[in-house]
Amino acid sequence: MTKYTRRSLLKNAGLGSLGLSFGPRVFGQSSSDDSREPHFFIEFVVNGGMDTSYLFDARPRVMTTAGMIQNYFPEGRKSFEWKGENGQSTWASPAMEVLKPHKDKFSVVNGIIMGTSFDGHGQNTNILLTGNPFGGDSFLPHLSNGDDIPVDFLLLGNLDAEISNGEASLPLTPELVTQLANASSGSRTGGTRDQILQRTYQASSQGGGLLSQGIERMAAGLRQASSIHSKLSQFNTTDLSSETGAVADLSVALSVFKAQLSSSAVINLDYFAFDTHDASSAAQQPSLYERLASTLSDLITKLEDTEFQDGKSFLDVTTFVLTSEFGRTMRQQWKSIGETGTDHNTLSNSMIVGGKGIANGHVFGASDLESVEAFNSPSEHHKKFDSNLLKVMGKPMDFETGSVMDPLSMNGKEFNLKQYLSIQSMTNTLLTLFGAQTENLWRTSSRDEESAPILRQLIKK
Amino acid sequence: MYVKTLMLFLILSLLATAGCQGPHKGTSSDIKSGGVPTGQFRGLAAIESKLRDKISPFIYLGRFIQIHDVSAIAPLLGFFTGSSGNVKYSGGNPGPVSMFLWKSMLGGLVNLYNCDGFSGVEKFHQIRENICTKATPNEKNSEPAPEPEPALDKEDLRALWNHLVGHEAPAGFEIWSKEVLSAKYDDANDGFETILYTLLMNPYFLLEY
Repeated sequence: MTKYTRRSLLKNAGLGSLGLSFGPRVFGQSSSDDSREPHFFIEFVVNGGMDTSYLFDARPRVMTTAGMIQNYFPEGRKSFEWKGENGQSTWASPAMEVLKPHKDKFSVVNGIIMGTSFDGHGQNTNILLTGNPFGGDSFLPHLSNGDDIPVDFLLLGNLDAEISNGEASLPLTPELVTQLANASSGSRTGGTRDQILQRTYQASSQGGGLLSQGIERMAAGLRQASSIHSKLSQFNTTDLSSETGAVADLSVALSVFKAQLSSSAVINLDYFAFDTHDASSAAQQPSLYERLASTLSDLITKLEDTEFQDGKSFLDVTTFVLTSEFGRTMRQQWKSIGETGTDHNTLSNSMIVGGKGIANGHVFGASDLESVEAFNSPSEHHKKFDSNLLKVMGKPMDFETGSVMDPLSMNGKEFNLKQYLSIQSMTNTLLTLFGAQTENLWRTSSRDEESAPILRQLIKK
Repeated sequence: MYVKTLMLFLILSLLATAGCQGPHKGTSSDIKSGGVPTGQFRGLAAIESKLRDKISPFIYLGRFIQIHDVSAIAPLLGFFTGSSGNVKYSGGNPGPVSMFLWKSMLGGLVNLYNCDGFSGVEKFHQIRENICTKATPNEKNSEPAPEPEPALDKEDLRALWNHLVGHEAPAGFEIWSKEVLSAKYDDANDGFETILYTLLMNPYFLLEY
C-alpha cells in the first residue's frame, strides 16, 4: 500500500538548476519507437468528492427553486453555457469563469460512472487508480509503456489507495525530495560492492519459486537504484522558489520529470474540504470551487510557463487530468434545499482532461436529471440505482460518435456499464493515448471478456 | 568531542526509536508468511529490529537518508497496518525505489559500524574485530620480519552470517562467502564495509524465506 503524509511544504527544487538535457534516447518515449516524443502524465486528485454541479455540470436555478438540487451561489451569480468545439455543450458554474482563458487547453468530460456498488472514499480512490474497490495494480506504471525509467510514478499528497504494483512509486513531498537528494549525494555504496551483490543475486535466484522471484526483483531494482541515486544527486536543492501548495507540488513533479526519474505523477489536492456532508460546509462551496478553479488555472499556467526543452513547454509534453474519487448527491433526503449538505455519488463524476494528445476545447458526456422535466421522468436504470432521485447519473454514451444518448432509450434493457461512460472507459482512453499494451486495458467487471470501450474522440487526431 | 557526539547520537537514536515507528504487531514471520517464502521484504520495522538486536540498539535507519519520520517511506519497504487480529502486511515487493532506499540506508549504516566505527553489541564487536584484524595489511612490524597475517576464511564469515542471518540458508552463505572471499579490498575498513554491506543487502537477510 502506498500512502504518505503531507508535511509542511517547503520550496521546490529549481528546474533551471538541473541543467539536464535529453540524450538520444528521449525519456518518456517507447523503447520500441524512438521517434515518439516525450509524454508525461499528471493526475490531480481532488480529495473528498467533488460536486460536479459547481464545475462544468451545473443545473438551472429553477431546479433549486423546485427543491431538487442545492446551489449556494447567490441568485445573482449565474451559470453560463460552456460550448465545446465538438458541438456539445454544458453549463458551467460561476466558479469556472476564471478558466475561460484556458478553454482551448482542456476538455470537459461529465457523466463518468465510478461504479454502482461501493461509495466509500478509499474504495473509490482505489477504483480511480486501480479499477478495483479493494485496490490492485494501478494503470500508472503502464503509461510508460516499457520505458527504461526508474520510478513508475510519483505520489504527492495524502492518497488513500492500495496500489499493489507501487514498488516503483515514490511518495514525495518537496521536503522529501530534498532529503533524498542530499542523502544520495553522500552515499558511498556502488561499484565493487554492487557487483558482488549482483553476482550473489544471480546465483541465489535459481530455484524458480517466490523467493527466487523476489531475488530477481532485487537484482532488477538494484540496477535501477543506481540510476535513481545518480539522478537525485543532480538536484540542486539550494535553488528554492517561493511557490507553495499545489504549484509547489507540480514543480517537484516537473523537476523529477526533467531529471528523467519518472514520467507520471499523482498530485492530491488535499488542502480543500470537499466532503461537504454538513450544510455549513456545503454553504462554503461557492468560495471552495472558486479556489479550486483558481488553483487549476495556476497549474495550467505553470505547465505552460515552464520550459521542458527546445522551446517546448511542459504543457506541450504533458497530459493532465483533474478529477475526484466520485461526485456528490444533489441534496440530502429530508433536508430543506437551503440547509442541506451533500453525500457521495458514484453514478456521475467529472474529469477535466487537457494537454498533450487531447482534443482540447471539447465537451464529452453528460449526466441526467438536467432539468425539471428530466427530473420528473428518470430512466429505469436511474431508478434502479437511485430510487430517491438524490443523485445525477451519467447518460449512456454512443462510443462510435462520442455523443450522449437519451437515458430513456435504455428503458426495457438490462443495465450494462459498457453502454455508459465509466471510469474504466476513461482509463482505457488514457492508456490508449499513451500507447499502452492492449492487455493492460481495464474491463468493466471481472467477468467481462472485452475491455471497456474507449472514448476515441477525446484523443487528438 | 567524541563523547559528546556519541551521547548526542545515542539520545537522538533513542528518541527516534521511541517516536517514529509505524504500527508493527508481532514479527514478520509469524504474521506475514507463517514460514512460507514470499519473496517480499521482511519489512522496515522487522529489519530495523534485527539490526538493533544484532548490531546496536541505537540504530535508526531513517537517519542514514536524513528522514526523521520513516512513515513516508515505510510503505515501500514492507510494513504492517491494522490492529490485533486484523493485521495486514503490504508494500514488501522489491523494486527500484525500495532497493535505492535499502542501499542508501544500509550503505550509511556500514560506514558507521566499520572497523573504526561504533562498537555495537558485544558479539558483533568481537566478530568485527576478528574480521578487521585479518583484513588489515600488516605494515607495522617490519623488524623482525612479521609473522604471516592469518587470512580471512569462511569460518570468520560464517560467524558474521550466523550472527546476523542465523544458521538457516547454508546455500546462501556459500554463495555470499565465495564472492566476498574472492574480492579485493583497499584496506580493513573497505573490506569489512563490503562484507557487512553485501550481507545486509543479501536476500536471506532482507527477504522473508
